[in-house]
Amino acid sequence: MGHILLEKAFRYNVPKQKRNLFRDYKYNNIKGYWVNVKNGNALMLENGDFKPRTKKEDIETGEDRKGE
Amino acid sequence: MNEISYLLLSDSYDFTTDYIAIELEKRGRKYLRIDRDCLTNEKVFWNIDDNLLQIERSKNTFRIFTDRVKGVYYRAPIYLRETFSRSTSPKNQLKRSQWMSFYRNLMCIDKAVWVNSPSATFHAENKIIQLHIAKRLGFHVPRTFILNDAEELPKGNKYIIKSIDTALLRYGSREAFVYTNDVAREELINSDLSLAPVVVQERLSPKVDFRVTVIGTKVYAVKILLDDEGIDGDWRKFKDDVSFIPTQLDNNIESKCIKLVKKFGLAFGAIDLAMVDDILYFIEINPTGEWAWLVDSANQRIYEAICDYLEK
Repeated sequence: MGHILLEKAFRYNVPKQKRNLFRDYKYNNIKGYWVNVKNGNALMLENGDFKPRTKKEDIETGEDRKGE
Repeated sequence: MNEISYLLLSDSYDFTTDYIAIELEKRGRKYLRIDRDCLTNEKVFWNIDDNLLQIERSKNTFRIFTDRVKGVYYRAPIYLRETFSRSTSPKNQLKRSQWMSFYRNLMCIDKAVWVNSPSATFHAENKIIQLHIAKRLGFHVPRTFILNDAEELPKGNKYIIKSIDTALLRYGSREAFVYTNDVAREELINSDLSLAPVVVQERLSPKVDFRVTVIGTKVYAVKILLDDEGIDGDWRKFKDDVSFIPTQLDNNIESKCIKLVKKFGLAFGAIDLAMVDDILYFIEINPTGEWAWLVDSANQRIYEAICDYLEK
């Protein structure tokens, strides 16, 4: 029998980078946040689908992306 | 030229940091977000003698006097675990290791308020140290064992197993993440654990999970429920379906949570607790815990408390 943590680890397909999905938003490096290219609103103040609604979004890296 | 009072050390795809930038902008503060993934596009000149770090970005020059910065929001790893790797090109190894060190060296900004200081985070991220300190502060703590051989594990109890540190593993084109799992003593005995130690704890059940976010003396707590009930096992497996219900903690517990964060020298801590038969057990503290998901799901404006703290 192998190591129990390897056996019990939850396996998943590597999520595709969301970066290509950000057609409607652009990172403003002076403001330091993402904005909607059409109306200039901050992404995080909109009701968009990209907001981190759940803990850790859908990518498990350990909080703070410490596993990268 | 812009003199900067607040620094946000992050990554451009870290949306949590967006909340802090938006709030500081709303408050009219001079801040600069420095993203690790964008640094190669910027001109950096740090004159150590003059305590002046100058960053040129999109034709703007930002001046950071390292002895005059008031607050730093740190949203980056405290160290990279896989800088040296055969699958990473020498160019990327060099880029990652050296910029990461550049980030760490910003700790010389020692007159500023840090949320959190990387050195405090480094200490606080160790689960066993967490349990020791929590116990000393009077928290109930589940019976815990660290082992790579289970023969001496007491019989007759139910257990859960988890990794000592975040375990994110690569399996070719797939990844794997180690959640908390139920485990039988026999299963542990039959498993070859010599490869790596594991954390084994008494199983708390039935339980209700709590997430407590502490910033200084400000406390935000939620109960985590699925169909109005507590969740058996690791709630993150059901994270798309759970509800986060804001709740007020008992004063005694709240005070212990604040003390725990302070004891570690942290400003921010996301604490996991579990309630069994009206007793709250300490599970762990995440010094780099996520919180953006609570802004909408529980209407907890944690970014306001973080900015208040940075402005102290």
